[in-house]
Amino acid sequence: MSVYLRRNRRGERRWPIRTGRSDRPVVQPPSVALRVVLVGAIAVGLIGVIVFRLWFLQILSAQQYVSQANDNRLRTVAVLAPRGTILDRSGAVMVDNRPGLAVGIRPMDVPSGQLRPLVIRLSALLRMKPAEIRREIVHQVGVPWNQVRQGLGLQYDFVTVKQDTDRRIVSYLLEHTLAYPGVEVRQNYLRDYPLGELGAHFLGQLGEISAKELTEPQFRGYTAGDVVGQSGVEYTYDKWLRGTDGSVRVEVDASGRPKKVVAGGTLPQAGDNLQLSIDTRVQRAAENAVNYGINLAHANNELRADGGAAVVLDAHTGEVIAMASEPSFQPSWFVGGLSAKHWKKLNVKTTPLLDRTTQGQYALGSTFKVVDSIAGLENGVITASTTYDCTGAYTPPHTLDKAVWHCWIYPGAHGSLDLTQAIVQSCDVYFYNVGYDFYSQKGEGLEDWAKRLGMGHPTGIDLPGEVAGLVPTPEWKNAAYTRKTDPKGWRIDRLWKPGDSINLAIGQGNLEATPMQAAVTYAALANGGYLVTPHVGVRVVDSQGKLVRRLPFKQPRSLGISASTIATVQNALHEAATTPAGTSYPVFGHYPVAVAGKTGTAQVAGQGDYAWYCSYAPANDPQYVVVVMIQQGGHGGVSAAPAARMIYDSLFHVSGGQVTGAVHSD
Amino acid sequence: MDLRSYLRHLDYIVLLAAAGLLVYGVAMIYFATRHDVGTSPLYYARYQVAYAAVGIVALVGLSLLDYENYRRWQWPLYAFALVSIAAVFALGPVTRGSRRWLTLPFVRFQPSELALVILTVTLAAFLSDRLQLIGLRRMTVYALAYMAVPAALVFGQPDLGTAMVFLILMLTLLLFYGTPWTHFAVLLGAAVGLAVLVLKVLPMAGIRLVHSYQMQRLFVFLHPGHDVQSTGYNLTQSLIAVGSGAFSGRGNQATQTVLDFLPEHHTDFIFAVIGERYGFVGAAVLLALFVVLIWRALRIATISRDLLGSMIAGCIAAIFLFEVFVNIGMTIGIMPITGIPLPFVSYGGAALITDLMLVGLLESVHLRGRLAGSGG
Repeated sequence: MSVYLRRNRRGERRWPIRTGRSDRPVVQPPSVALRVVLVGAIAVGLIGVIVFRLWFLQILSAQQYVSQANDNRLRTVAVLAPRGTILDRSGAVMVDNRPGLAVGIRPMDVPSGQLRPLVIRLSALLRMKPAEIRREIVHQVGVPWNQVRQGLGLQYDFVTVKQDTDRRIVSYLLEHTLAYPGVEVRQNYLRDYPLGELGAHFLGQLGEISAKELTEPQFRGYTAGDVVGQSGVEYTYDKWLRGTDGSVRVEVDASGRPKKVVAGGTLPQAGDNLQLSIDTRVQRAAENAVNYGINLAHANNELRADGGAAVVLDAHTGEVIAMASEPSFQPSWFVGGLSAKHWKKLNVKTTPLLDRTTQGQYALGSTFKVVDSIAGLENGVITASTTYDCTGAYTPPHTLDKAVWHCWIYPGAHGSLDLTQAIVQSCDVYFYNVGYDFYSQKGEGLEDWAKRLGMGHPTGIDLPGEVAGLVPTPEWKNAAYTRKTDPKGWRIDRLWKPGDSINLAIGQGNLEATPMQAAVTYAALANGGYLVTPHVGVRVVDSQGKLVRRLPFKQPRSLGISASTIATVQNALHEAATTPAGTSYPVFGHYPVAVAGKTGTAQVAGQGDYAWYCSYAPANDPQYVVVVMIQQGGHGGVSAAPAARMIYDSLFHVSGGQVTGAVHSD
Repeated sequence: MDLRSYLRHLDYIVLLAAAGLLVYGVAMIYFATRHDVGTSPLYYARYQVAYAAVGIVALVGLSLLDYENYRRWQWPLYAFALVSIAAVFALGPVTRGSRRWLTLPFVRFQPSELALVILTVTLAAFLSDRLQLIGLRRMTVYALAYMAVPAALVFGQPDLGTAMVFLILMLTLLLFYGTPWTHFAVLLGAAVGLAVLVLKVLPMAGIRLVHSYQMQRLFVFLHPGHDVQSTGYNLTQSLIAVGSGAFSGRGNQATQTVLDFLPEHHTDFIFAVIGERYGFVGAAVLLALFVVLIWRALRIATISRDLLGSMIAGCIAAIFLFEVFVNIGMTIGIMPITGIPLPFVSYGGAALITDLMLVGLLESVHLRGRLAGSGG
């Protein structure tokens, strides 16, 4: 410093212009040191600010930033669990998994500007419309198409374009990867149906969970994008079948591209297997039998016959041994998306998708007379020895109009009949009288018994979409016929008139029931008066076959029907099938197993008669209830009863009228 | 000067600090970019070494050259700087919305960086030629005008960062020249007034001199959490990178800069790589190297034989300080995001060669300084 000061004291205002060489005097402006100190101080200040800020970031807040960095780089990727298989009661596989090849696009890997032509090329290869692929991309990426096209807003998403792609297309794609940048093939699990059409209705299909389903209690805890059962047992038992998806922790880069797998994932837990009470052998027989019944109807000039249903129940437990609905469809059509061709096949007037056993409701016809009999005997309206005279026609004693109800035998006549013979010969006049007796007794004795025996409300079967049927009552009539629904005659039509009771007594009028409800009613008769809850599922077993859970069902509930009533009606049904006067004698008269059953021929306005046969066997020790309904199939004894016999053939191993093997039991 | 006295009178501490920074930078560029170019992890590091080689040649050349000569060449040099910056407007290709480069037959060349070196010596020469005029208002206006032309040209490229470096350069030279404090106060007032005019008044009148992205950067630095996905993305990712480095860094577990969460991780945001990889310790080592560099530059300013050398050395110290503070400051969220690289460390040939040339100037002053005895 002293050097500068000394020079400064010279006090010269004019500095030499040129300085700096060692041979010249050293000239140094005295202010330089001060300026250096000033710049140095600023430097110390600025570097200090940086150090303090770094201390704050790296020492005080480090933990927060470390976790943010981990959030940045770690993603959890789900690993799909294979869905459980569905087995029949003996363990035969009804629904299995098979590996499928899905073709998809990773839009981020498509060079910019190439997506549009790529989609068009791919659509030609996959035989899809370009618009369909675009819709899939937009739906799965969640970004509008014009942004996707410009590569905006994309994560490292894989968009599945086509599930279950043909192996030839896949190998073409793999051979021409350069021509399809960003197109990938993935393997996944798809449902496989080794038995084809068998059980299409109750097995059900899978589909991506809908926004509405996400709000249902059935799907609590599910997330969007999950593939779930949409119908049948796939829906009901989804929780057991689906298993638990595993996860993999992957480290990703800024664009979400996976770089490596890190520890901390979980293995997928395969879904448990579901065992059903269905016997595939009987199921096949039941489906064949319904078609056989339809063909029989055609052969008998009932050319409008176009569908039918059959139900086989274990009379004591309510286990469903078989349930068939025709026409049917291939459940495999739904795997990997329904094609336009198959969609067309399913959307026809004969409604193949409708499960007629639980979702179709029909007039019961004479099969309802069993309900009349039980109700009449229990309510004391009739006794086993009460007789009525059938002249072929019937007019209620006190009516204002002169309506006449005919017996099916009209212009013939049954003459005087007791209850047993009335059931055996299915005399309508007898039950017209019973119906009128209930009417004049007031109250709702008959309707109550119909409900108690399982009609008018869902049976509680473990399948979605079951309908309630309808047992008409005075209140129901009063509510159903209003100025709105029936502007002309609602004042009269809403009243309960004798004709309503009379029609109900022969299973006509407003009465409607599902074949499953009819089977439950007949099961109650067969098992001595217990109402069963039909069910298809039996138990859940794990992949090693170990029992996980026996599915809970309501125990059969006693209806309090007296033993004599049961015995009387059982005896009458037995005679109806096995005595020459019986309506199904031609079918079961010489059958090796004693069958008890009632035919039904329900008239439906504007359609052919609906053929019914409701029965159980063996008559002396009822095991199975078999109900067959053929839509527009004509007389129950002509189309439905032979179809039921075909099912019994399978149940009791009967062939050509002979017992061929051990009686089926479980 | 002969080789022996040249070697004897070099400031080896400056050279060691610069070499340390250079090596540190090349290593960081390697770690930041080894996954960026698929087959050659050394791609960027190798280029940086090549640039360094060119820069070292320039360093030696400048250190041999007596800084006296710039007095004689100041006007041709000044003209060359202006013309080369202006040429970018006519000839330069547009990269990322701005023209900063000239493509010569063999090399790409960024005139504004070379102009930084030229303007340092020419303005210093201009001022030191007029020592008798110290304290006159005229001189401050001259210096302002002298620097306003290149600064405006660079600002128009647009390259706000380099334009700001030019202004810092001018202010430092004025400071060492001996400009009265009152002039600085007036300049400060004018700067504030200009900022208000450009940022508030003119936009209301519909004139926008500052680009909207520059405004956004300014805004983001004041509100870091705002708009994390687009404008604030760089800053947010940079803070996460630096913060997650903690005390001793994540070493090879570093992810922010390796997995591309932070763009520009080998150029403007190279400090984030250091912060994440080596933590507070690594950052402190880097800062220590810069402190040594600035200390030596200021020391050279005090031992210079004449005012020209003091001005050059002090100015270089201020340039390094400004660049270090602005670059690290933006990485750690205390300064707006500008395109100013971290001296010696950021990837980029033009900036690295410029930095080494500045070290060459420092050596040139040191070699001819008072402690150099009878050398030169």
